[in-house]
Amino acid sequence: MRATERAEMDRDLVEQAQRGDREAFAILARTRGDTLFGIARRILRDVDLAEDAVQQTLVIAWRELPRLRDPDRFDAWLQRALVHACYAEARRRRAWTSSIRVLPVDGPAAADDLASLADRDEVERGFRRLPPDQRAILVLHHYLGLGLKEIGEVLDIPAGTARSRLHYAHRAMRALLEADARPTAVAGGKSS
Amino acid sequence: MTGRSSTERILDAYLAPEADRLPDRVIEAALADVARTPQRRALGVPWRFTSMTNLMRAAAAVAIVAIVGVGVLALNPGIFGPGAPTPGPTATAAASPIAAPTPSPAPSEVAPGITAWTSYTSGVYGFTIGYPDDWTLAWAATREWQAGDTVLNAEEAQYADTFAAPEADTIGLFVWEMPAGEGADVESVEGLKAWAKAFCNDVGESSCEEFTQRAEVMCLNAGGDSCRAAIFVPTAEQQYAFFIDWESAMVTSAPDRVRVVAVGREDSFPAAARYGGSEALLKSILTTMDVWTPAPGQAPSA
Repeated sequence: MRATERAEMDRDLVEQAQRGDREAFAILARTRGDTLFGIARRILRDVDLAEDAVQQTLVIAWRELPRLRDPDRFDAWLQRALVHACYAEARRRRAWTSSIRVLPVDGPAAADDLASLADRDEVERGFRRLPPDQRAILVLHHYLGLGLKEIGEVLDIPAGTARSRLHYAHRAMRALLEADARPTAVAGGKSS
Repeated sequence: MTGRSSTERILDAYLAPEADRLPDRVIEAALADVARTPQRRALGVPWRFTSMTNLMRAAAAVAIVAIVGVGVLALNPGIFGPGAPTPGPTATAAASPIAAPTPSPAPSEVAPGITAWTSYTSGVYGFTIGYPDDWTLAWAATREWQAGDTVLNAEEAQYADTFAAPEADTIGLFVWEMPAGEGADVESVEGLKAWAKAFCNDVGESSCEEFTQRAEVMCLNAGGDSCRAAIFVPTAEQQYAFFIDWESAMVTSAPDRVRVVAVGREDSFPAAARYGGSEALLKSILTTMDVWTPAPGQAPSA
């Protein structure tokens, strides 16, 4: 199916769902579920929390869908709802510890920059110490491959703001990796 | 683009796409919740108050100028004329079709698609308005607008009486009052435009210079053939009207409240087509509050 045909079909489904068609919404939910889960899992670093965030997002999306003014922006709108749901989940579970429990988030095994388990643990610890909003922008950029304009659409911020936030997130991540690499690095700490 | 930094490459690898699979039970649980969840009706919630203007802060501290925002309603003054408010929020169906508006100050502005009115008197603000009889009261204001009020939506707009058209993708009509501000001139067209410009800035509308340039002069019928200042401001996304609370002004030394009426939809919004657009809809509704397009040669007296 060509991209334009798929876009038209998606638009029809969104418009049907906006008019209260639950079957149309079910199709949208099933086709977006895996991507939403991938985003949430990377932001939250917890499978259970990610599942909760996705479930909550889908219900909110259904409830609020009539307010979506441009059906072609459904995906960005849905992802925005998900990011906010992730923030909410993160706030509810502030007791996470960043350095003790490293979840088995299966990553690509052969990447040059992440060759060893030790490296992966360092990255995991560093990433967990980032606040949720910085994790979110990194996930949108590095996982979804979104550019600044698209990130801005998802987060409802100007592209320039997205650029600066991404810059600060990279800088924070770099600082955490460097700190973790030093012998005196703090091993514990809480993450939101 | 230059090469990516080591941090970016690490994150590329760490966050790379993989076989993410949302368990079916999560989707099924979500859809079960969806089956029990009603959709919210989109009222075209148009704006959010981003900050308080100094004008409003001063006004909130000193006096209450009522700015009543009313979206789109046409009220036949013969049915809902001033001086006949009823206590508490009430909605009463008008049994008869709309009568032709009074010849002065303007001919009929009642839009097609409106065949009868339901009268409503705000329990908080006291104004009486008419809305098309197939519309519903979405929610009644429970308190006056106050400094710090922000988003006007179903949960938080406790300060606005809000009405909804019957369509699923519906139209919202919002009516409320706000402080005009100490010393604000809200009795002249230019004064109202200045106030509206401050309002524009405050609610985060774009192009506030154009906002007031687009303003159309209207007449608030304050009795007899008099014409008091009112303005109608059409924008790309919603329609506004601003005018004083004349009844309050009659018992105070100067008008201290402005009525704001807003329809949260663009003129070409599909559900507004049967009224000839949201602009015509709002102008119709304004007639129920005795606000009219000036007759030829007529102009507001300050």
